[in-house]
Amino acid sequence: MDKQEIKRQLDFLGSEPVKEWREKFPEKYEADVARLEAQLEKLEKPVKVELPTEPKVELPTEPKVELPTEPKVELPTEPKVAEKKKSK
Amino acid sequence: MLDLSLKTALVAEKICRVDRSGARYISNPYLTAITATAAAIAGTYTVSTATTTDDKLTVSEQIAAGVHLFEFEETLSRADLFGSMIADLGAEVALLADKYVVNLMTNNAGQTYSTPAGGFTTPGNINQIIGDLSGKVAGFSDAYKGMFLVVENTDVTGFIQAGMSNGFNFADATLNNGFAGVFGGVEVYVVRSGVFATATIGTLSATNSGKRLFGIKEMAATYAAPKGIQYDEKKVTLKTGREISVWANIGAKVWTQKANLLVAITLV
Repeated sequence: MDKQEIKRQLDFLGSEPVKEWREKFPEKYEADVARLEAQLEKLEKPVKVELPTEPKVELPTEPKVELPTEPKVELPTEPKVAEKKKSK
Repeated sequence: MLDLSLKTALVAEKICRVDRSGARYISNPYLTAITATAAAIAGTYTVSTATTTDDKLTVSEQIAAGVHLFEFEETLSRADLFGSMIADLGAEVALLADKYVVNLMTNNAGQTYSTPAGGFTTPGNINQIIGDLSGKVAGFSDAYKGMFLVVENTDVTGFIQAGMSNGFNFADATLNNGFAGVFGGVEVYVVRSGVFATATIGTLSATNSGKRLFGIKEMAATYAAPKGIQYDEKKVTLKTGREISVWANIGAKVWTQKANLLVAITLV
């Protein structure tokens, strides 16, 4: 049911020809009006349109290229030649 | 005969008591409710005054339709236009009479019921709705006449799906043959969309859009149609052919004392 039809029905329920029915069944009248007003409110409530957020494109990170470390070339240490104690 | 437009099914005569006596009024006064009292035996009692209240059905509505059928239309046609026209007009009159009665009954139903969300179109609601509605009239001595439910064609999907998935034999029968028209002991009558209306129908201000009707058959309401549908054909000055008119004088009433045998259902 669209807004125009709901408003037409609400107007009809409040009109003079329906007076006798309203007086005979006040609880039915109130329930009907409440139901239609709830439907109207639902239709009139602004609908939040959520725009789709752009997906974050994560740029691929370049793999860290680890440069091969040059092997430490340990220079051969010259053997320490212990000084010979001078014999007395 | 020509092919005629599709018509909605008629239900009023299946759910009402029908009167064709030709009376303009059907009087049915009722007594004020009387209650008995229980007390320790004493030999005395209290007396209240019995009063009667008038209640009557008045044949107040005239449903009519008319057309003029020119002579050349009838002569140059290969079909029986006159017969087709009478049949079509008669059907339209009957449909509007039916709509009037169904809406009058729903307007004046003594009880109300709101369905679970989704109404009849949700198959899972059907068992609960039928159970709830049966409970509304169970225990009344008039319940032996059997229960009826009037729905619109858009509600049928729920009944078929519920039927196909409920029980074993019942589900098999529904799967093989479709919906048989009885659910939980309730006779379900289907009319087309738009029968339940919020609009003026004759002198009735119907307030029933989005509603359906449940109740005990033939007990709560009477539908009077003296002479049923009548028709007339007449020659009209300055025109060839004939004017055809079809009409029915009808009235309906939900009896005050029996109104609680009817339930107006609000679809949620």
